[in-house]
Amino acid sequence: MGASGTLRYRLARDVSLPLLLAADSARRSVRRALRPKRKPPAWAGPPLQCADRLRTIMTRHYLLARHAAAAMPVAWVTSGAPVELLRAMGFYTVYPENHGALCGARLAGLDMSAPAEHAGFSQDLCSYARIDLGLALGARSPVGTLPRPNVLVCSTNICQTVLYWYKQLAHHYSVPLVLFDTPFVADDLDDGTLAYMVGQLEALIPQLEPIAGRSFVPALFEPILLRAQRTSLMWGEVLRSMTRRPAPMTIFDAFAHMAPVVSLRGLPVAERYYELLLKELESRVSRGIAAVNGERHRLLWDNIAVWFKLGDFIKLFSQAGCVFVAATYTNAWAETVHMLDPKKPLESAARTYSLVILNRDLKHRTALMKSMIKDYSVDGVVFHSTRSCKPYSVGQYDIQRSLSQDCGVRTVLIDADTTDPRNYAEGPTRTRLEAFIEALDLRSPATPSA
Amino acid sequence: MDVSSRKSSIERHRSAGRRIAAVFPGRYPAEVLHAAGFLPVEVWDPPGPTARASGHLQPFVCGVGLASLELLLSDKAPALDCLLFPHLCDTLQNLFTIVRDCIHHPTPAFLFYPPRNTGHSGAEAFVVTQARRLAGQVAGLAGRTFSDSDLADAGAAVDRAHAALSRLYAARRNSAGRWSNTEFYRTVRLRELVLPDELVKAAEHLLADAERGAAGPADVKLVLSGVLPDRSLLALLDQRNVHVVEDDLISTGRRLLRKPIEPAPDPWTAAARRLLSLPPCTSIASPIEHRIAWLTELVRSSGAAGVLLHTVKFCELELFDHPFVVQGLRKAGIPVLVLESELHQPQVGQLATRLDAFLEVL
Ligand code: SF4
Ligand code: SF4
Repeated sequence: MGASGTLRYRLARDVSLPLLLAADSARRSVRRALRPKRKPPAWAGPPLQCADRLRTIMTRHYLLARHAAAAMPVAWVTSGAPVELLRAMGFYTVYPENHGALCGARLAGLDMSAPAEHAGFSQDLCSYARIDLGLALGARSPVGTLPRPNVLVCSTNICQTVLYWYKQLAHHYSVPLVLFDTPFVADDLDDGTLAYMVGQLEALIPQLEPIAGRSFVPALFEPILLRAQRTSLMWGEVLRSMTRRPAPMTIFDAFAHMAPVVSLRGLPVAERYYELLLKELESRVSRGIAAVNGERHRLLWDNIAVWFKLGDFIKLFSQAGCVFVAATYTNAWAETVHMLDPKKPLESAARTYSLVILNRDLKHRTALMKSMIKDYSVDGVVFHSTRSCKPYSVGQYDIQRSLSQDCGVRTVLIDADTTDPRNYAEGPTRTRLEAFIEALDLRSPATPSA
Repeated sequence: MDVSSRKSSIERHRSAGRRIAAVFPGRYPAEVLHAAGFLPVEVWDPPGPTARASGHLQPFVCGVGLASLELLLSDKAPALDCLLFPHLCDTLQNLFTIVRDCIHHPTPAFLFYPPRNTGHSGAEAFVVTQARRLAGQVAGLAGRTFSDSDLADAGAAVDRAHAALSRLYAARRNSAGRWSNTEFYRTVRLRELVLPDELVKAAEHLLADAERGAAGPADVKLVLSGVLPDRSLLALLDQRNVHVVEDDLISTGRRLLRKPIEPAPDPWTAAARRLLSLPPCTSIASPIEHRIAWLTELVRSSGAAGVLLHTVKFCELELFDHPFVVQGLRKAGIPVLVLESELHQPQVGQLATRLDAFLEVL
């Protein structure tokens, strides 16, 4: 990190990348214009205009990351880490889980995890971790290179797996691992647990300052915290737009559009993005524009996406008039953010980060799903049991039983994976999903609402 | 350890007025349960098929998780007064909430969270709050509280048990051949089902036996690491006159205090220090380097020829560590064999072949 690195970073950020992205956008527009017009399938509503903007933002984020290491400290963080603190200290943050999802969606999961498996990491481990360890051990990412971390920041609020995974990264890169341990909340958050978490957040600051090369300034932290909160609240609004009938977007859209709230939370770019997206959604709602024409059944998705199957699932469900309008996964970045309070920044951050869905008992998760079923007028639930993610998957059998019995909704559970196609059996899964859709039709052959 | 000894321990203590707590795998302050009048009976690897548990847990859940739940669902489960789940991994975390919130098991279930950030200055105070909370929960069941001096007595008994086990491990290093692996671990694992002073007696009994004379030489000495001392694996090692002289198993060696804790101002802090002074574990934020150094130290101090890393299939917390730990040990010139098998269903033939190949190299 030095003056020339900073200069290169700024040049990239302010000059070369905007030019590159503008050229890319123009190229895509031309290509689109020249491409023979294919009639979109009858079920497809008009695509979200914001998708282009999203693509630009995320491409910029990954391209900028290449120049970041020379200009500023880089932190690799888990998706549940208190990133606002890092932003206040000038870290460039990289989210390996988001990168894993991206690799999965680009069908690169297997290639990316190959070096890790070759080195002895078991195929039974979380595939996000395998992709990331594969990257560390030489795999080439579809986004090019990620900057080496100066520090790893990990929070156990999503799983213990991240701790085991980040310990390997710390060993491999010889960098410090900073842990924010958020004890599992089995009942209420007790004072002792809160004190332990607040103490760790306080301790995080002096641990990070020497790596950041600057002091933590509370006055910088507060606006970032507030911006992160506004961003997450807007994300909640985005999701709530799907309570409307017809839904102006689907959860499959949300899987993509959640990237800024996960990876860029606390930065102005993420906030501006959701302002734009919300505006577009409000306009679609007011004009009755549906994401899926002929919406007949409204569904809830449980667990992370099957990234490598998104396109197929969109087609399969949409052509049957089935629209995913809610997901426990996308909701996780909106569920607790209202608890942030700049007057008690660390205490409220501890609450916000520890009370997320994966850090709470199944009583909470079941109740949350029941309320989503009601609020989003859901007729059916698809459980994705992913071998990669035990905290999300173990317990689904029981939740499924509970929802079927108490809410009168149809449910189906499929075995798959977030990014590893070896854990997915096309034939049986498709048969199961088709039978589920037929059962939905039998129960309520409702007339399309749009 | 066979079920009948577990059963007899439960019956003996119950008739002496103790309540029974089934404790699932992990680290927890046993002295709190002892002081509250409970006998903690640990559930690590109950035998038998896991058909009923499969109705609640996916096939990619480890055998320990499946077997633990099966025990709770079976009609053969002994009468229990409470269930304690020390939070060890994602699987056990969810198993706890399945049992409590989904199955609504009639026995009260509690969770104890050992901190992962063990280097943090607030970790000790956090353990104290967790231990006090647990004390409140079990006292509510027992209908009586206990005093600090009760807890201090229980803590002292736990210390005696650790000291006796440490002596046993030391004797094992020096005269390994006197006991088979199976015999040694039968005594070590008594910890899972008796009170500390009973364990001390059993350890002393075995130690007295060691003092009677030198042992026959072992063909090979090894350090065993992983989750549990699997019975079939121990038997295979016994057949080959291979002696496990030290271990870094989650269920045994990693829960053994090798030296006394620093004096504590009160028995609650002492309980916390016992927990936080345990050897490095995959479950906490101790760096990989510490585990490599710890294993290297165990190998050097015991004169072992190598390390056997034996993992239960689907155990993420162990599987993550393997590649770099193996690399680190090999760099230090220590041969390592990695074995993975299903709980109670090891493909013995396959294990034996790989073990023999490894022993040949040694
Ligand atoms: S997919 Fe699951 S196990 Fe993997 S990092 Fe995410 S929460 Fe943890
Ligand atoms: S074997 Fe591993 S995954 Fe299974 S319960 Fe034990 S620690 Fe958890």
